[in-house]
Amino acid sequence: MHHLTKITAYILIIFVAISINFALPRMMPGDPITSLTDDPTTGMPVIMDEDIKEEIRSYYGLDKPISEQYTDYLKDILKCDLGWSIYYNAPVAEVIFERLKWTLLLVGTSTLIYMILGIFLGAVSAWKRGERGDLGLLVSVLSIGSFPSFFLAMLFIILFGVKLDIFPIFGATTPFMEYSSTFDAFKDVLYHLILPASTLVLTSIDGPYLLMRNSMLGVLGEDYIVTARAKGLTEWAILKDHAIKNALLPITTVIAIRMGFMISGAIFVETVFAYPGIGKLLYDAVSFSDYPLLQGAFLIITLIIIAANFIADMTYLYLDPRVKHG
Amino acid sequence: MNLLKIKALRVYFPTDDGIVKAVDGVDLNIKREEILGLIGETGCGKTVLGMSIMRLIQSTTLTDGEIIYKDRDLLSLSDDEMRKIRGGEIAMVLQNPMTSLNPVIRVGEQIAETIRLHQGLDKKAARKRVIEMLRDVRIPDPEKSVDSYPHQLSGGMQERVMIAMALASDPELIIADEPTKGLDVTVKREIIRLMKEVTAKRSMLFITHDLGAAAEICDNIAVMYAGELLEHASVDSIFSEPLHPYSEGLLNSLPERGLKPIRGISPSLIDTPQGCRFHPRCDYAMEICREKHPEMVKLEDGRAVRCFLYA
Repeated sequence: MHHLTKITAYILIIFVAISINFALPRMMPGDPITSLTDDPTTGMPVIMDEDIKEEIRSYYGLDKPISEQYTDYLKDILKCDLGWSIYYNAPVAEVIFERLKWTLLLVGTSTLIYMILGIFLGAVSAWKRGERGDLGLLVSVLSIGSFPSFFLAMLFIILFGVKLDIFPIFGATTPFMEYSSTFDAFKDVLYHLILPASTLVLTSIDGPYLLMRNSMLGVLGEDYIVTARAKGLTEWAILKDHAIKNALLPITTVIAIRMGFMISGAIFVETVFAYPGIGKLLYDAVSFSDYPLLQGAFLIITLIIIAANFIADMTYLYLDPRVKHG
Repeated sequence: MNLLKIKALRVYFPTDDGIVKAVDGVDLNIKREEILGLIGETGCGKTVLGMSIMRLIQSTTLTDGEIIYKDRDLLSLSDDEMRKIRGGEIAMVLQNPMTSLNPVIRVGEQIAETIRLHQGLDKKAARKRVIEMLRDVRIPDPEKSVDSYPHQLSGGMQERVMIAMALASDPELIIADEPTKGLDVTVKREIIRLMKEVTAKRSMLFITHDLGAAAEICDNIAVMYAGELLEHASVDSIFSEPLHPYSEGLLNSLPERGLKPIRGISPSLIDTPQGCRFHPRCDYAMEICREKHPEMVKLEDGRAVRCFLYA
């Protein structure tokens, strides 16, 4: 029952997201034809007679009533057809999915690392609150976390890419490389991943770290921790069996929300490292005014964030029995 | 035969406002199979006294004195040694079962944890033992309840789980901190009856401000006020003939004795009154009570009282 309402809610959210994605460009002033003919930046207005305008409109389906455009849009999405990219001259879906795997690799790997590391360090910090270890961690995590990601990325390029020359400074793979084995390919990908992923990890770790530290401090003051101690459990057992699970509860929700920020953080990092992910793609799409591509990318990012929320919801269900049993 | 001897125990908490003297020179013995009630108003230091026997007070506290359990001073044991006693030979029933049970762990597992730790049983044997324990504390349908989460149980059932948890390691001494707090009258009566039953062959320090509950279950009573003991007597004598004016005041505040409250409020533990700590609220206060701090006086019938009326 509970699952069913959850899933219905998510289907509704996806539907609304798609609809907004459809409506937004149509709510903007002007229309594609006007911008074609009256573009003031060209200084050279294109003269088009009504017949040609009509032809272009019908070619793009813009002469149909809005309701029909909407149903067409929904049908196209179901067929994974997101339109045609102007700049790449290829189907938007194809362009995006080609890039998506790199972003998923980069964001996925770094999210996994910074979450686990941040949660672990936060727990340790709370456990040692007020002691040297806690203060050291707090200061270093906060200072690293306040670096803008693009700045840290540039520092990394200068230091590890140029000065020390141990890591590649751009791309996700070595261009024109022939791999002798899958392991070789894996090594090359990993090699390219390290700098951008470290940048994302270091600039994002402050979130989960601080959250876990706070949440853990709250939990450690709870009565059931005294109970656990009164049982004669070791400090480690108390931390592992009684504190962490409770402290994780508020964090799962925030992880999902931060997924959105992660993608936007990835835009900077991917741009600086010329990493061929969706962030770089978004940046390019904006520079080239590739609206269909932009719209498609937004849709995919929205869907990813909704998926992350869904996973968080499910995790919460698993972590907190009070939600499940009501 | 004393199981636990507390000698000149002091537990001070340094705070920004000054030193909170939560326990200030307490001498107290608990005999084998004795149920000793520790009564007093909220904030008199009785919970801290119970916690310090278990060494559950945070490390910044200043603790002084001795807590001798079976010839060993608990205060000078190493952390590892103390951990073996804690939850093993000495178990605690904490107040507020609602918050004292971990909300995300099944109650059976919370009890089994203690059994595995102190009796070295494996998972399966521990679970069997837990079901027996739940049956002993008369939780209905123990095979099912063992897999319940705390929020699925009523307050009375949660309290029973807390008791089962304390009994799990078959302790010799139980420290029960306000086990009847927040329970309605009928449930409270059942819990008291249960506690009386399960502590038949054990010792218990029963910390409460509920005099009715204390009268029903305890053999002896110690009255605590502002960090120190004021009177120590058998339950019958203290209820029939309280000696200390504070004990008398507590009894008179009971509904069946006219609901007369003691005037004034209990003093701050940072800045306790000069002389006898109770004198500002005492109807019998004399000149000497303001000036000198009374010592505990042992009377012939084995009672002890800290009051100049009996010096």
